[in-house]
Amino acid sequence: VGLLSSRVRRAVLLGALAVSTSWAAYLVYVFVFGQGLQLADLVGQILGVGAEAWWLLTVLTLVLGILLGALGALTGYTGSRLFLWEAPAAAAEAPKG
Amino acid sequence: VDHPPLTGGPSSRRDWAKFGTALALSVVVFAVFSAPVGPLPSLGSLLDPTTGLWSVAFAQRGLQSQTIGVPGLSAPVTIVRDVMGVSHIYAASASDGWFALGFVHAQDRLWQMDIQYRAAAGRLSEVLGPSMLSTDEFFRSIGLNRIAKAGAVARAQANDIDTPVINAYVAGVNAYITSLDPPDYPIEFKLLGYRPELWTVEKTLTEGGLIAWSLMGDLSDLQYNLLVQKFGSTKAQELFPNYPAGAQYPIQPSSVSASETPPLSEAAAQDILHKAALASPWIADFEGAGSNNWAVAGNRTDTGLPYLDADPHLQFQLPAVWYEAELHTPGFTWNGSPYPGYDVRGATFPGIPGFFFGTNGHIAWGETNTGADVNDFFVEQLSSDKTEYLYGASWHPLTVYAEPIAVKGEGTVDYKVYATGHGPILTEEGQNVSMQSTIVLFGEELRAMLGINMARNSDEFNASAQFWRVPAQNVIYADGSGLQGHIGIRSTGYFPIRANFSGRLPVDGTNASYRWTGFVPFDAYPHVWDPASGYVWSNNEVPYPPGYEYATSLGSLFDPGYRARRIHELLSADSRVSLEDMKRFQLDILDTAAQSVVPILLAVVHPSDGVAAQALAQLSGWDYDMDANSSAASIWYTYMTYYLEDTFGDDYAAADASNLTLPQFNTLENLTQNDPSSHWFDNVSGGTIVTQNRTVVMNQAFDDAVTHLVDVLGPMPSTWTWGSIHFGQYEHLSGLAALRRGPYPAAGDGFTLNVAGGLVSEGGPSWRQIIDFRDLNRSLAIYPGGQSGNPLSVHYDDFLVGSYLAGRYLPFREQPTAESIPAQSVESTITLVPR
Repeated sequence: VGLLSSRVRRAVLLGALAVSTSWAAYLVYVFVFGQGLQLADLVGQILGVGAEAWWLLTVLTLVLGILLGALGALTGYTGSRLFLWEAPAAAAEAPKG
Repeated sequence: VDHPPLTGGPSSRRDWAKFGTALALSVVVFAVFSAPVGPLPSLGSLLDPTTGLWSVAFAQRGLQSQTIGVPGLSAPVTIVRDVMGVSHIYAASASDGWFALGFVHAQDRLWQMDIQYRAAAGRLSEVLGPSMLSTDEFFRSIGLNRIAKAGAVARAQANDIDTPVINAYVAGVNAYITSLDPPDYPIEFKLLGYRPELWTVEKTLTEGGLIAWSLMGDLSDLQYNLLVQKFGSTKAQELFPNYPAGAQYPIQPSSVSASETPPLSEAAAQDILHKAALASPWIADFEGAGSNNWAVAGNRTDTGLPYLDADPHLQFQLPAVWYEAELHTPGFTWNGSPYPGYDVRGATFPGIPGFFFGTNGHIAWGETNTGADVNDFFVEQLSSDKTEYLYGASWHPLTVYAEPIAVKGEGTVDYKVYATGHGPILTEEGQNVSMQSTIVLFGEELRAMLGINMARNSDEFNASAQFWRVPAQNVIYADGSGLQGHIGIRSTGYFPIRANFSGRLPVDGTNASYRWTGFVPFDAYPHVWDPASGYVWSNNEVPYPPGYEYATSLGSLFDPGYRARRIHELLSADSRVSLEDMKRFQLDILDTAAQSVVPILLAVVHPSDGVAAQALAQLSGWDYDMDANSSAASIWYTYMTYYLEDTFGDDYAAADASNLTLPQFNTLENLTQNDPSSHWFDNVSGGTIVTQNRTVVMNQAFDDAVTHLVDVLGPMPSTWTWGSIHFGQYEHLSGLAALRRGPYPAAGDGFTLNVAGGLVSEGGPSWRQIIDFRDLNRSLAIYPGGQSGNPLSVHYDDFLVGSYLAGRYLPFREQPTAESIPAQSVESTITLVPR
C-alpha cells in the first residue's frame, strides 16, 4: 500500500493514460485508414473466440499499452527518487539549539 | 536549461524497496509478454502496434499504384493489376519480365512460397516445431533439396534459356523481400514468429520437386507387395489387374510377369507407407485425384477452329496452388539463337517461373498426370557396420548424407540419410529398403516449359516437350493455324526400361539383374496428332494404345477410366462443339459408374421395407448426375461404398488385410457385369465359405446403405440430398480454421469430369481453362481461391466464392499492352524502375 502513495498513483495513472491513449489513437487510425476491423475480426477467429470478437485484439493491445505505461511510470518515478532527487538543504542541516 | 533540483526526503531502504518492486514487476510483465504462447510467438511481438499484427492492416498499400526502385532491372517494367488482382507484366526484356513475375509472386504469395519450399526441403520443424519432424525426415530421405542443389548447379552450367529466366526470377523475388521491413511481413510470418529468407534458384527447384513428387510419389508397389503377401499373386492380380478392368479409352492389356514373389516384409512396407502418410498433408494426395484435358479439332466445332480444355486436379488449398499472370517481353537472342520472346498468359506456380497452363496467342497447352510407375523399391543388404551394401558379387560403400534438422525450441536433430546405388534407404524396419526414382532426374523441366511458352507451332512444341522428364505428364496441344487448326496430345517424361522385373513389386537389391537399363525413347512416348476422330483427351487413364511396346515401362495402376469414358461419350456424340459445350463438359457431373451399375441394381435389388422401396424409387429414372440436390446421388454413393465393402471386406478381413486399399470400383463393375458368380461375392467371414452371387451382395449392400442414410439423414429418402453429406473444403496451408473456406455443399464425385472425390472433397479442379481459337479473347479461366495470399484482401478468395463455386468462369483475354487494359478494369499500376 505504501508503494501506491498519491504521487505514485498519479505517476502510474499518467503513464498508463499516456501510452494507452497514444496507442488507442493509433488504433483508431488503423481502423479508419487500414483494415483494422477485418484484422481484429480475423485474429478473433484465429484465437477461436468468433468473428465478432474484433474487440479482443484491441483490448489486449490497450491492456499491454496500459501495463507498459503504468510500469514505465512506476519504475521511472521510483527510480527518480533514488537517482535524480536531491535532499533539501534544510533537511541536510538540522537547526541547532 | 538548468532546472532547480527535484527535492524530497532522503533516500531510504523504503525507496530502494519501491524501486526494486517496480523493476521486478516490469521484468515479470516483460517476461510474460515475451514468452511464446504455444506455437505462437510472444504476445508482446504480436500486439506491438508498429511491427505486430496491426501492421498487417496496411498490407494492401504495397499493391497500390506506385513507382518502386529495385536493384537488378535493366529498364522500367509496368505491372498492371486488374480488378481481379491478375498481374499483367510489360517489360523491355525477357529477364526484366521474369524479374517482375518473381516480384509479384512474392508480393502476393511470399509465405506460401516459403512454406512450400520448407515442406519440400524438410525444414518445417524449424518454424512449426517438433510435430513436423517426421515429415521433415521423410522429405530429407527422398532428398528433394539435394536433387534441387544438384539441379541448380547443372542448370547454371548448362546456361540454356532457363538459366537467365530463373536467375532473373530469383532476383525479382529478392528485390521484394529486401524491400520489406518487419511491419510488412505477411501475417503468417508474424503468427509463426519468423522472417522470410532470401530466395534462391535451389529453392525454386526444391519447390518444383515437391510438385513433381506430389504427382509421381506413387507407393503402390508397397501396397501391392502387401496384397500379394496376403492374397497370393493370382488373387492380387484379380483385385488390381495389370490394366484397369471395364471399358477403357483407349486401353489394351499387355502381359506383365506375375511370377515375382514379394521380398519385402510387412513391417518394412508399412513403415514406409506410414512415413509417407505423415508427410501427405504437404503433397497433393487426395481421394479422386486426377486431371482432365481435351481438345476438339476445327472440323467438329461450331467455329471451324479448335477448342482446348484443361483442368488439373490438385489439392484445394489457400493460398491457391495457382497464380494467374500475363507476361509480354520482346524477342531475344540466347547463345546465338533467336527467340520470339514471351507473350503468354496462364497459370503459374508461386515460387517458379513458367506458365504451366495457358496460351501464347499461337498455341495453347495443358497437362494431366500420366501416373506412370517411376518408383521402384529394392531390399538391400548392408554390412554389419552399415558402411557398405551388397550389389551383385561385391560390396560398395554406402553414401551418407548428413541432414541436421533444426527444430523450433528444441535445438538440432542429427539425421542421416543412407543411400545405395539405387537410391535413398527409406526404412530400416527389419529390412533396408531403398527407392530408385526418376525424381532424381528433375531439373530441366523449366527449360521445356519456357520453350512451350514460346512455341509457335507443333514442331516447336514437341522440340521443347522432350525436355520435360519429371513428373511424366500428358501434355495437350492446340493451335489455330491453317484452315482448321491442329490438335494433339503426348505423354512426356522419363519411363524406365526395367530388366528382369515388372516394377509392380519390390525386388532383391543385391541381384544386379534387376535394374533399369535406360528410358523409353521420346519418339515412342504415347502421342496422337490431328486424329481422324477430331478430338484428343486424357483423364489419367492408361495412355498407350494396343500393342504398345513399352507398356511395362509406364506401369500398371491408372485411373479407373470413368472420366475418360464420359468425355469420350460426350465428344463422340457432339459433332459441332461450342464454347458453351466445352463449359458444360468441364462442369459435367454424370457418374458413368452409376450409369453402368444402377440398371443392374434396379433389376436385382428387392427392397426389404418401405424406406428401402422409396430409396430404390429415387434411383429409378435418375439421370446419374451427382447433383448437390439429388437424393439418388447420395443413395448411389453410399451404396457404392457398401457394395465394395460387402464384396471384398470379408476377404480382406479373412486375409488379415483390412488396412489395405480395396480394389478400384471398375474391378467390381467388371465382376458385376461379366462374372456375377465370382468367388469374390462369396462370404468368407467366420472361417467358412458361403457361396453367394452378385444379387445377394447387391441386396445386402443396398440394405446397408439405406440403414446408414436413415441413421445420418432420417427416414425420408427424398430429403437425402447429396449436398447434405458431400462438401468441398478449401484448407489454408497453415491448417488454421479461420483461414479455411468451406465446407460448401458440392456436386460431383470421384468419377465425374467435375471431380469431387470423397464426402469431404479437399481436392479437385485447381484451374479451369477453355481456349477458343476462333477468338482467343473469348477464352475463359478460373481457379478456386484468389490471387492474394493475404486473408484480408478481397482477392484472397474472390475467384472461389465469386465464380468458381457457382460454376462460372472469368474472361481470359490477352492484354497486349498496358494501355490496352480499360481504365475501369485497372486496380493498380506499379512501375518497377532500376535503382
